[in-house]
Amino acid sequence: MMDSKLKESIKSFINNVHTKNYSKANAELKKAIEYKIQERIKKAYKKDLF
Amino acid sequence: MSNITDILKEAAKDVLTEDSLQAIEETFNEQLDSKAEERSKIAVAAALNEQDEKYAAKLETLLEAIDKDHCRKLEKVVESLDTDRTNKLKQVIAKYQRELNNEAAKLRDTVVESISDYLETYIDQAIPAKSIQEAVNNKKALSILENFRKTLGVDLALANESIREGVVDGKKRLDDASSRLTHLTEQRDALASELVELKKTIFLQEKTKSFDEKKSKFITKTFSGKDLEFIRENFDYTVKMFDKKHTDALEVLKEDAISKSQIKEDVNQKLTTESVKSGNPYIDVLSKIL
Repeated sequence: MMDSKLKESIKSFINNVHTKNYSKANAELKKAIEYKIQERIKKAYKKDLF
Repeated sequence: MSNITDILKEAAKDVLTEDSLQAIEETFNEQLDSKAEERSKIAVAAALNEQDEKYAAKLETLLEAIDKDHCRKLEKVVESLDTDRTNKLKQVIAKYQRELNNEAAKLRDTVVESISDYLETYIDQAIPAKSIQEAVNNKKALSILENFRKTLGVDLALANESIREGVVDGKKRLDDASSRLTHLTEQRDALASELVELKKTIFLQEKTKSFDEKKSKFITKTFSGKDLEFIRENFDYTVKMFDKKHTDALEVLKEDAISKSQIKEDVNQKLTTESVKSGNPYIDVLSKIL
C-alpha cells in the first residue's frame, strides 16, 4: 500500500511536468524521494536494524 | 323517318338522276357524320374538362387533407424519434464520460505506480546499501560489546569470593531492614488511628457530660465514623438541631393536650390536676418519640 503523501507528491510531479512547471516538478520529485527514503528508514527501524 | 334521298326525289324528281342523288346522299351523310363526330368530340372534351376540373379540385382537397395528416404524423414521429435519440445520446455520453474517467483514473494510478517503482529502483542504485549495512553492523556490534562489558564487569566482581559474600550479606541486611520498616509502619498507623478515636471519644465525653442520656446518645450516634475536625466544626449546630426538634415536639404535645381539655370540661379539671401531680408526662412521651 502506497503512502498517501507519496502518491500525492507523485501526482503533483506529473501535473507539473504536464504544465511545464519544471521547478515545482523538481521539488515534488525531491519530496517523493524523501518519502521513499523515510519509508525505508521506518522499515529498518521495524526490523531493528539500527 | 325518311332519309335525304327520298326528300330530294320528291323535291327534284325530274332534275336529278339516281346516281346524283346517291352521291348527294353519300356526301350529305359523310358531312353529317363528320359534324356529329366533331360535336360529340367537343361535348366529350367539355365534359372531360369539367370532370377534370371537378376531380382536380377534389384531389387537391384530398391531397391537402392527406398532406396535413401526414405532416401531423410525421411531426409526431420526428418528435418521438428526436426524444428517443436524445435519450440514447445522453446515455451514450454519460457512459463514455464514465468510461473516460475510469480509464483516466486507471492510467493515472498506473503512471503513479510506475514512477514509484522507478524511484525504488533509482534509490536502490543511488544509495550505497553496502556502506549503510556495514555501518549498521558496526553500530550493532558496538552496542553488543557495551552490553558485554557491563555484564562481564559485574560478573568479575562477583567472581571474587569475599566481594560476593559482602554483597550477599548486604542484601540480607537490606531485606531485614525493609521488612522491619514495613512492620513498624503498620504498627504506627494502627496507633495513630487509635489515638484519633480516643481523642474523639474524650472530646465528645467532655462536651456531652452535662447533657441527659438521650441527647448524649443522639450526639454520639450522629458523629460516629466522623473525624475530629468535622465534629469540632459541627458540634454546636447538631446540639442546636436536637434542641429545636425537642422544643417542636413539646409544642405539638401541648397543643394536643389543650385541644382535648376543651372538649370535656368536667374531666378536664381532674386530668389537669392529675397531670400536675404526676410530674412531667410530656417529657416521658417526648422521650418515647425521640
